Amino acid sequence: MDKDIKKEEFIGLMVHELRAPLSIIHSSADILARHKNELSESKKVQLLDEIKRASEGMLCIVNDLLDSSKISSGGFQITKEANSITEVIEGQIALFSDFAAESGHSFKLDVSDRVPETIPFDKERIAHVLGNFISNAIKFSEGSEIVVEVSPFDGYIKISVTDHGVGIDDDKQIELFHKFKQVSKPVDSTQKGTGLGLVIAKGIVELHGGDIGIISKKDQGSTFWFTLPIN
Amino acid sequence: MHILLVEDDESLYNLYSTEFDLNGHSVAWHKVGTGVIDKIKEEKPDAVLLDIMLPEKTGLEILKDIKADSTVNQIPVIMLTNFGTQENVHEAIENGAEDFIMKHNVVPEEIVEKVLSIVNG
Repeated sequence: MDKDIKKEEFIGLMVHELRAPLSIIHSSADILARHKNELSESKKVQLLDEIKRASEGMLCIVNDLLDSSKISSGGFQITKEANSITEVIEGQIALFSDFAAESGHSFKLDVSDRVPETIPFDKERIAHVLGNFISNAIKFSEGSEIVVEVSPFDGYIKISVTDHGVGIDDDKQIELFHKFKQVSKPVDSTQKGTGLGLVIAKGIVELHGGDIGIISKKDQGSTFWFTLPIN
Repeated sequence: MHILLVEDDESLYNLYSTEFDLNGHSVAWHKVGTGVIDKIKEEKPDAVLLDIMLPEKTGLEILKDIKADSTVNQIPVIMLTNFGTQENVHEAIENGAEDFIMKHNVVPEEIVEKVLSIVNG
């Protein structure tokens, strides 16, 4: 597909993704303004929560757009320090545990004994990559085990997140990590998203000197993986 | 007036049910694409607001099921969508939908007005 057309589709998708939470904010504020004397306190709190949640969603989208733009222009910075990858993974699993439990998922973490206790990486950015992999695994599979594995790999460590979900066609796999990928419509509202998460993840991993990829079979599940240099 | 909202987005249910409630109407909520006909029979709504994009079954498929069932096919169905492509609009109207609402282009008050005008003829 022509890059300009892909770019137009991408802009259309971003506008759509921003318009949905904006509409929630607009509608909530509209009800609050017109019915301020009739609404119960609990209803007002519920509407304010909707505004808060929708604005946080918009903020995430805008931050992702800024990050992907910085990655493209070379202005994205990382700070490498000695960190425990196991701790970062455990933190992300804990963060997503409620979301996972709601949809009947469980986690299995398998860290090889040969993985060094600490390696140099940007804790916040790598947590972002792991969070993206884990949230995708939850969104695109139903009530199954999500396996996170860490193993040494020829001067690197390899971190993989495996789900037993819908999987991805071979021809779509490469596009996942590209900004102006062909847009496919989500099946339901739980699968909405800008698709920028993986683009940013690729940028972060490559800035660390690592590699990123996917192994997937349609209707059998996916393994998203990345590597980080040990030294 | 009693409405059945078939929509998987809880935020939209919260907003629509609040606005309908404030106008003296009630909303029953069904958030998946399966079991809609049973829910209609149980709730006996005056109108159905039906999202196009639902888990397990699309709104257009559900619309066809409703219109093929003589026990519920007289209830007006208004489609909700984010996309609103010409193709979707054409297919929904051709299959018996009363109207089409681009849900992110309107505030809930306008939805109440539209449903009222349809139900009251």
